[in-house]
Parts: sequence; C-alpha cells; structure tokens
Amino acid sequence: MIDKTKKMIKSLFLVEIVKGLSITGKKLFKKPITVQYPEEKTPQSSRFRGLHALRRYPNGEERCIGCKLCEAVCPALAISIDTEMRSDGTRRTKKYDIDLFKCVYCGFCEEACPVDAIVETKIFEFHFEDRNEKVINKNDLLKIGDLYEREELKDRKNLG
Amino acid sequence: MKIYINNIEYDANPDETIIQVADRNNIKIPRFCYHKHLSVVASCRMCLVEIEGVKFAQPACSTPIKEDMRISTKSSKTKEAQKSTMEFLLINHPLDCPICDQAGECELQDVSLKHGDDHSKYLEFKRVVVDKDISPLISTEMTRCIHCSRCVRFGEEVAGNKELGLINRGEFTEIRAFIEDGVSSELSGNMIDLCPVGALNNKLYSYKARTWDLKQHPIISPHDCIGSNIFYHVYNNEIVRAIPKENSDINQTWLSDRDRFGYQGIYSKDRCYVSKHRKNKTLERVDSQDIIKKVNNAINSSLDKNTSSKIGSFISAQSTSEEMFLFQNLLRKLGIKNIDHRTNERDFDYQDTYPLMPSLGCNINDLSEYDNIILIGVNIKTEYPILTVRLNESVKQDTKIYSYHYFNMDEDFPVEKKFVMNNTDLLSLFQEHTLESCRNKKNLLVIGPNITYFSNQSVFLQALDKFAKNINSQIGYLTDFCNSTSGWILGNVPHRTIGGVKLDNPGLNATEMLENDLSTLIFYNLDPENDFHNSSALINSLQKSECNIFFTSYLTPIIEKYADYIVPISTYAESDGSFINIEGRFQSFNKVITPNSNVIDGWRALNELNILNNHQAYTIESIRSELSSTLSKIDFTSKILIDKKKYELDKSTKVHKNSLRHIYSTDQIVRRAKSLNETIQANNKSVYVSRDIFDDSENKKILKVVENNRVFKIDNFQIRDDLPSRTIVYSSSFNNKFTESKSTFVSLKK
Ligand code: SF4
Ligand code: SF4
Ligand code: SF4
Ligand code: FES
Repeated sequence: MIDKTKKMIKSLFLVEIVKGLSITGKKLFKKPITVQYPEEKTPQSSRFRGLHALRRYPNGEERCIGCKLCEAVCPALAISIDTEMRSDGTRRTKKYDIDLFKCVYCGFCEEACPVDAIVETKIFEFHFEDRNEKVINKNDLLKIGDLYEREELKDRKNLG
Repeated sequence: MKIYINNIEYDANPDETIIQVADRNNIKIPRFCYHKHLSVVASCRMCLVEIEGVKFAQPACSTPIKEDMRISTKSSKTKEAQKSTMEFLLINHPLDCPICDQAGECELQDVSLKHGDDHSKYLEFKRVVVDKDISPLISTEMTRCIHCSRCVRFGEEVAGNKELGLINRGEFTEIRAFIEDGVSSELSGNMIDLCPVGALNNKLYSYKARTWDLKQHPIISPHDCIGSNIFYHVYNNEIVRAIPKENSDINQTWLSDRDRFGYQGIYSKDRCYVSKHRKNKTLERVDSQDIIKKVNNAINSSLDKNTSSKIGSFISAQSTSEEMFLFQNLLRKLGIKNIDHRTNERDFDYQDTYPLMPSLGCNINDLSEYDNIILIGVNIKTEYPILTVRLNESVKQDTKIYSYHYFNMDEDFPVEKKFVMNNTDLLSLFQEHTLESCRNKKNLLVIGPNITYFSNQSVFLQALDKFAKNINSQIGYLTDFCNSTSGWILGNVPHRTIGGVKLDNPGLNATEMLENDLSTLIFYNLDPENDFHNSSALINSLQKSECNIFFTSYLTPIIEKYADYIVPISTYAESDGSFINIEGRFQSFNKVITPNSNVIDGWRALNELNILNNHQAYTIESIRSELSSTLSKIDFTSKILIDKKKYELDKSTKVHKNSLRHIYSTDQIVRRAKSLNETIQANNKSVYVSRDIFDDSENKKILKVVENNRVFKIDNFQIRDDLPSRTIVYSSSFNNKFTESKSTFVSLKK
C-alpha cells in the first residue's frame, strides 16, 4: 500500500525527469569535452593497439625469427608466415602477411612474440583504395617498423 | 603378480619394471632415456617415483617390481623429485624453442610444462657445444642435448653400427661422431625420432614448417619389398618430412633412411608435367585431356595394322597394384600378350616352374624363429636396411646367419660364415654343398634380387633348390622392387594372367620383346636409362618401332629422344594405391599430395583407356575389392621350384660381370633424391676388379672392357683383393654404361 502511494507521488511530480534534467542542466554550463577530430585528437595509451609493424635490432637485423607463434596465437587467422633457412643458416620468414580486414587488433601477436618483433603501433588512421591492399607483407611491415621505431621505444619506456 | 599404482591394483609379470606396467595401463610417467626398444640405462632420472617403504624416490624405468609394491606417481615426494630433476636438466638447455624444429613435439617441452617449475633460479653461464656436420640428413644443435644417450644406444643395439658416442665426463660430456665423416648408417634417420629434444633433427625439414602446421598422411614405402609404414607430413601440399608409422609386424618404430628421405625424388627437376606427342619429329605439347584419346588411337591403329603380337608392353614393378591390375586388364582384353615387369632380368627359362609369386615364405616377425638364415646374393645392409633391425634381433635369439655372395659385403649384424665366390664356383658349390651346421634345423634360404639378374638365373635357382633340399630348408625371396609380388600375381608376366593362371600361348618376355622388332612399345612408369639390363637393345628397338608410348613421371634423355607419346603420370604419393609386400601383405594408401594439374593419376589414365575401349570402368574401390577377392584365393607360401629340365653348367665363362645394387639407385624415385645421394654410402659408386684379371693396375689408370666389339673405358675402378677370381663388380648406378650385352662374357684387354 505504501509502495503504491510512493510510486503515484513519484510519477505525479515527474521526479525521475527532474533528476535527469538536473544533470543536463549542470553540464550545460560546463566546458564541452568534444574533440574536434581530425584537428584535435584524444591522448593514446602506450599500450594502444593499432597498425602492425615488424621491428629491427639497432644493427639493422630484423628481429623476427620465424617462430610462427604469432600466427598460431592469432584468433582471427590473420597472419600467414612461411619460413626458410637464410643463407647464413638462421631461421627467417620468407613470407609474412597480415590480413588487416581479418585482424581484430587484439594484440595477442605482440604478446606471443618472443623477440618483440611484431608490435602494434599507435597508427589507427589508415585506408586502402584497393581491396587487395588489405594484406600487408613483410616489406611493408618492416618499413612501418623503421618509421615508428622511435615511438615504439618511447612507449616501451613509458611502460617501464 | 599384483602391484598397486596410486592405490589401484594392476596385474604384472615378475620380470617387468614399473614403467612397463604403467605404460601398459596408460599411467603417465615422464621419461627421457627410457625407450621400449632400447636397453635401460636409468641416466636421466626423470622417471623417479615414490615407492612405499623406500626412503628415496626410485627410477621407474629400472626398478623391477615386487609383489604388493605400492607406487605413487602423483605424491608430493614424486612431484618434488621430478621437479628437481627437471631443474637440473634445464640448467644447460639453451631454451631456444622459438627457432627449434622440435618445438611442439618436444618431450622436454611437454615434460617441463607438466612437471617442471615455472621459473628458473639459475643465473650462471650455460654450457655451449660446438656443432659438427655429421650427415647430409641430420642437422645437429648439440647444445640442446640432454645426454639421454638414446642415439648412442640405438646405434649400438638396433642399427648394429655404433657411430655416435658419449665423450668426456661431467660438465664436458658431449655426444660426438667417432669418425670425422660422421654418421653413415642406413638407419641414421631414426636417431631424429629418438632424440627427445631438438639436438638431432631432420636436415631436409630445417625451418620449413612448424609441427602444428603439418597434416599427417599414412603411406607405404615404395623403395623396398618390405613395405614399411610411413607417415608423410604435409605442409601447403608439399611433403616436408616422413616419420615411421608404428607397425609391430613390419617396421616396428623404425624407418630406413631410404624410406624416410626418398620422397625428395618426387620434387626432382626431371619431373614430367606436360603431355606430349611427336609430330614431324618434334615433340609437341598436347592438352592433358586429349593425350589419352591419342594414345588409345595409336594403340588401336597399331592393332589394325599388325597383329597384337607386334605390340610389347613393359611396366615397372614399382607401380601400384591398381595400376598393374588395370594395365594387364587393358592389354589382355585388347589381345596383347607381351607384358612383362622383369625388365632387369636376362634369363627367363625358370618362369614356368616359379611360384605364383615371390614371397619371403614367412612373416617378418617370425624371422627370429629360424635356427639358420642363409642369404644368397643379398646384402641386407644396403638393399633392405630395415631388415638389419630384425636380423639383429634374431641373432640375439640365437639365429645364425650365413651369406653367399660374389662380393665381400659388410653387414651390420654378426654373420656366422661368409662365402665369397664367383658365379661358377657358387654354382658348383650349391650342387653338392651341405652346410653341415644346418642339418635338421629350421632353415630359411633367402634368394636376393642379384640372383635374378644373372644370365643363368634358371641354373642358379635349380641349384639353390637342390641345396635347399640338401639342408632341408625353406626357400624365400627378396625382390628388387616394392611391388614385384603384384607383378607376378596380377598377371604382368607373359605366361600367366591375373591370379597366376597359366596361359597356353605365352607372350614374349622382356628380353624377347626387345629382340623381336616390335612395332609398338608401351612403357609404364619405367626409367629406360636404368631399369633395363640391356640399354643398347632397348635403344635399338626404340629406333625400329613405329610408335613408342611412355607413361612416365620423369623425363629422361631417352624418353625425349624416342617417345611418340608421353603421358605424365603421378608418383606413388600423388595417387591412391596399394603395394603387396614380400610377406603377401596387401597394404593400401590414399593420395597424399595433389600434383600439378597436368599430371594424370596413373590408374585413372589406364581406367580411361579401358573405358575408351568399351571395357568395364573401375573405381578405386571396385579395383581393390577385385584384388582382394583374387588374393583371398591364393596360397602365399612360396612353393619350392620343381624343375625337371637339366641345365648344363657352363664353365667357359672367362670373366664374371656382376652388378651390385647401389643403395640409393634402386629405383627411379630414390635415384633422384638429392640429399640421400650426398651421403657417404652413396659415394660408393665404383667398379671393382679382381686382381687376377687386371694386375698391372699401378701403371695404367684406365680399365678397358671390350664387349661385343665395343670398348668401354672406365677410369674410376678399384682393384680389390677380396673379390673372388675372374670377377668384375659394378655398382648398379653404372647400369647404362656397363650392361649393354646380354652375356656376362667380357674380355679384358691389358
Ligand atoms: S592483433 Fe590479434 S587478430 Fe590482429 S594479427 Fe595480432 S593476433 Fe591476429
Ligand atoms: S613476429 Fe615474433 S612471434 Fe611472429 S614469427 Fe616473428 S618472431 Fe615469431
Ligand atoms: S643427441 Fe638427443 S638422443 Fe642423443 S643423447 Fe642428446 S638428447 Fe639424447
Ligand atoms: S627414464 Fe628412467 S632414468 Fe631416464
């Protein structure tokens, strides 16, 4: 009985609506937080998972040793690798393709890599003009790695 | 006897160890050094288990069981012991799993995941071992070795050839090949399987794929008549490695190197991928859909022009049973009788009294039941390496092995007595010989393929028959190809049809076909350079005949020069097939890889020809059911030859010229396996001459052989003192150079 009366009073005096509108009212006089993308950008975490890159050692040698752990762990089956013995006897990939449409940017590959070769950079703005470009190969990945090595090092430092 | 493992009662035999009982009952005990086919050394200490009433944990692999023993594989004491062992084993292990080919199937990985600690306390330096190149087949990374000594024991106990050893002690212990050249055993590949870590690995497979990428397909070995069971591992439609498929009746858990690495021949650059037809003296490419029709027209127009006796056909005994069945089915229905698979033989007089098919006469498992095994003209080590394992086992169970040969052969098992004589002496010996020590015992006389290459094979077989009767022995055969048994039983011989039924009007045999100026010649799966004992006669008849049809997987110079039709057919792994091994065991397998789209499945090509001629169409199942109904009617135990004919013993032979089957030249696939032909054994290609026929060798560097007025000059020959008199022995890889005549008569010019 009491419950029913309470409910009636609440709906009669529009309590819920007043409560809601009071938040609107408060925000109305505050500074807006809308970011004017692309002129403005939100800050990114050091752990941000964007476009992939393959890193190199400071001496220019590619890090990747073709262990295929990233390929095995990838839940989207986005990575495909073929390996071979390079002329100096080391294990290397002869094909390293990532299908960026299949990729779900989970970062598992980065986590699985024993030598920190495959990483996900902070790049999230990229587009293709041809459907075939969705698969990026080893060459592209290494180039991205070369361009963004400094950022990667900084991110790693931030993470301690 | 009863024992308790984890408080559950199990039956056990008094002479068993704990690990044997546990394995039988699927109770997992981690282990490294223990292997069911090797002796127990108890050196790794991984299998420690707690036994009630014993103060310390004991190794399960070496502790014999006792009545009412109470064992725990899960108690904290067991776990603690296993964890500590694991920690010690990992101290010097490099943990380079990401680049190790063993990763994913590594026993060390599995065991440390289950029984090890999740982090290491070890911070000191790790040991590093410098690698040696021990073989073109095995890659090494000895820093990974955990000194389980399985590889060492394998060489000593199974292969009968100790080539690896544990050198030095303690921190400096090292597995090394004793000799600089490394490992030369024909069974060396098994060490790859045995090694629980990635210390010994498959060189051909190096960095090609990862274990979890591979698809496994069972198949039967096409390289010898034993029929070892193999698993091919396929990555992206390419065979990347082979491992044994356990079959306790045949190869147990082993595989010979030839079976393990022979698949490389499939990827040879000689492979034939296009159908061709000769028009105006040049070979032109034909659409693969049309080639069968063209071949059919060629055969039929030849049948219209000539009689069917003018057509000759040869099939390799390496073809599958399905192919052999369809081949003779097609030809016999067309009225062609000249069919043969014995292209390497010279004397065919014996054929009417030959058993239905060559057979070992016993199961491979039963070899150890014989008191004596007498090998005639066969070298197990190079020709049937997998049997070395069985004969080693037999010798341990008191079987005595005798060997008669024209060459002093090495074997990897103890041979009681070796008789090395030239052909005439062997022949006269067998007429009278009674091997006294074999009287009234269980004997098996094994006739090897070298005997079938003799120009007086029939005389030899008769003499051997007499010898066998003298010592009351069974007769068994070993054949040169994997499916010679099918050749006989499925009617690919001129005098018998399918099921071994005798023909009243036999066709021409392989040699006669080459001597009778036939108008059409059909070759199925043969390598004309190497598979015929007489290549000059072959070339001669190829030149004379109007039409030469080659069904082949490989292009060779002779094929390119003389073929009028080339049908590119699949190899054994690219098609469904079956082989009948020397015990009479019918083993089928399915296609492992898909070949190039222009390559035609062998049996499909033949089936299509059958259809084009309005014969019954077959499917692989209907062929197999037909085959098994044929086989079920046959008694496989080989009957001893009863030949009434008396052969004259020819003593006029001046020089005996014999071939030796070269281990990696036995068939067209293995001949093209590159890595096998880089091994030490493969280098053994030479011509051996006995000193009595060529004495002044020191001054002259070239051996001249005059034969049928042709002169052969041979520069890499060796004078051997251990050869019997008046003998030349050449490796079969010289075949085309050296066997141009039917006779064994050679005269040497000094
Ligand atoms: S981020 Fe995830 S989905 Fe994308 S490639 Fe790496 S593992 Fe695969
Ligand atoms: S990127 Fe890393 S995980 Fe992937 S194959 Fe290369 S080394 Fe292995
Ligand atoms: S090489 Fe392999 S099999 Fe041989 S002792 Fe070392 S770990 Fe054992
Ligand atoms: S397996 Fe028992 S000590 Fe090695």
